[in-house]
Amino acid sequence: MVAICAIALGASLVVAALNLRYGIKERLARELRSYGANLVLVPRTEPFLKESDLVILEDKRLKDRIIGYAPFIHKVAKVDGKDVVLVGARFSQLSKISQWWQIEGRWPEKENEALIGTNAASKLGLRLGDRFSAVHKISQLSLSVTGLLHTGGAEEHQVLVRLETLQRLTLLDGFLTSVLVSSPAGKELEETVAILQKAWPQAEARTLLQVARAEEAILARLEIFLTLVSLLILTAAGLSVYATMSTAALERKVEMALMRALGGEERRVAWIFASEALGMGLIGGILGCAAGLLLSEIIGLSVFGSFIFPSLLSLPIGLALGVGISLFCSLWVVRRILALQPAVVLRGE
Amino acid sequence: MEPLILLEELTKNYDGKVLALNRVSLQIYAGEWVAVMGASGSGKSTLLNMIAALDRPTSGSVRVDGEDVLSLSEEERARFRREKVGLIFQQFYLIPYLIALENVMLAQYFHSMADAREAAEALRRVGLGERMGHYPSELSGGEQQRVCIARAMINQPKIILADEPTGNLDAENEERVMEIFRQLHKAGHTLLFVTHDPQIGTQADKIIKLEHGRVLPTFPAKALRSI
Repeated sequence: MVAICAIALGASLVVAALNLRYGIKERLARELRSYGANLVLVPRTEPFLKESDLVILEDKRLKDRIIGYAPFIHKVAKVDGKDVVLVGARFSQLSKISQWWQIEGRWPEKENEALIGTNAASKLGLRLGDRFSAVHKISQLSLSVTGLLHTGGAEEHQVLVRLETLQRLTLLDGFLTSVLVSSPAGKELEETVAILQKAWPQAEARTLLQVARAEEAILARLEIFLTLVSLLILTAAGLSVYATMSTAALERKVEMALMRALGGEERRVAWIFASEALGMGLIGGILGCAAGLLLSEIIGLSVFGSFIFPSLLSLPIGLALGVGISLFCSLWVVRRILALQPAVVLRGE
Repeated sequence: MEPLILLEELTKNYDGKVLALNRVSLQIYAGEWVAVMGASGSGKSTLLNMIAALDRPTSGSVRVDGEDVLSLSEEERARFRREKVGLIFQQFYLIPYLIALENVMLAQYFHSMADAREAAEALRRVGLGERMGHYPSELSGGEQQRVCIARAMINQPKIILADEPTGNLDAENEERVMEIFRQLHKAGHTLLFVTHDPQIGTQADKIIKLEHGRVLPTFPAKALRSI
């Protein structure tokens, strides 16, 4: 029973470590995506991109590779006689790829509402709830401030309004100046760029190198760290199972000697103990795999707030650890005991 | 008549320090009941282990039922033990997680094929017909030793070797066990006992006395009984 528990514990730790190794990397890659886009699509030759072409990003080849995207239109307008960059965006999409933005107030919901970067607000002397007018050429737009934006980036100098509002003001209905795209980092990002270039030839896909490289570095270090932790757990669990199984086998050395004294051949006696070890390894391994999966899901849920997709590789490795070490330890000890004359063991030496 | 057991110049030296047997020679014939007696450390159990092929001597020869035991490989020694020898131990050595019946069947399993009916019959013969479903921990010392006797007898060996078979038993159980041995002897079995108890030893046909690994002059037990 103790041996089965040791095998189950060892296998569960290994399965949990392997699951987390794969799961955490994938989850973290997705988590990092919430800290901003890593790709930008800009017009290749024409001054604008067509809004209707956004359906390309919904294509099934790209859908799985894109975590989120946000179309933009940028135009300089006058507010209170001062030049300000007006940005038209779909706020529902923007909020998904800009989860780290801090907003004092709320996101705009209506057509005449705006989100103002803190620097722009200070330059224009605007506060939360204030109303102001934006002028572009002969068009004018009346807006109210629903939120002040802190990003630490260029957005703090801009005024963000709904995409359709700015398109109407600038008479650019159905046109975009850029699209920010968030895609998983690493090799996948390069593949996504290649697919995008083919699928949307009018757009040029540029990697935001600073973001992409930083992510790659973080993920690479994380992978090394998790691999080392998994190996450490694998070794510790292996040693623990080995110690328990060896002790269990040693405790039964009198039984082995008795079986030989009764005329049992070495290989027949070894087979009895090996099949027992195999059974224990299987039961312990299966229990350990189940417990390991559960453990990794509990950790995933408490750390990331969502389940981790189980790594298929972790189950055979966990089971192999249980069966392999159990069988190895048992046979190793059995062979050592069987090498002794039965009388020596029965004498208690 | 050729002896069933023939030992010549048998010597066993443990690590070059302890001389357990010193050039022991003796002959035991089929159907004899022989008691090997002597003080603790005189080499009695070592002698028994050599005859049972449970240990290897330093020098000398052991012939049992015409077979040179020392020339046998480990596999052949296992075959020799299961076919020719029935072993009874002072500590019983029953497998704790097997019931009495299964403990007897274990010897059958290594010999040929486990047969529950035959094993049950062997237990009935030693008076354990009602106790065969019990685990060793549920049996008294005397009952455990009778299971051990049934296990030793189940494959009908030519020789029964017993190491202090009554050493852990009270007087009542000792008598029950000895009665079984008397019956086995009457039935023609060859018995070789190791004991330090003169009362047990004198029930044998012949007593072999060991002292510091050497055999003292052998004499019939009758002579000792008459003193």
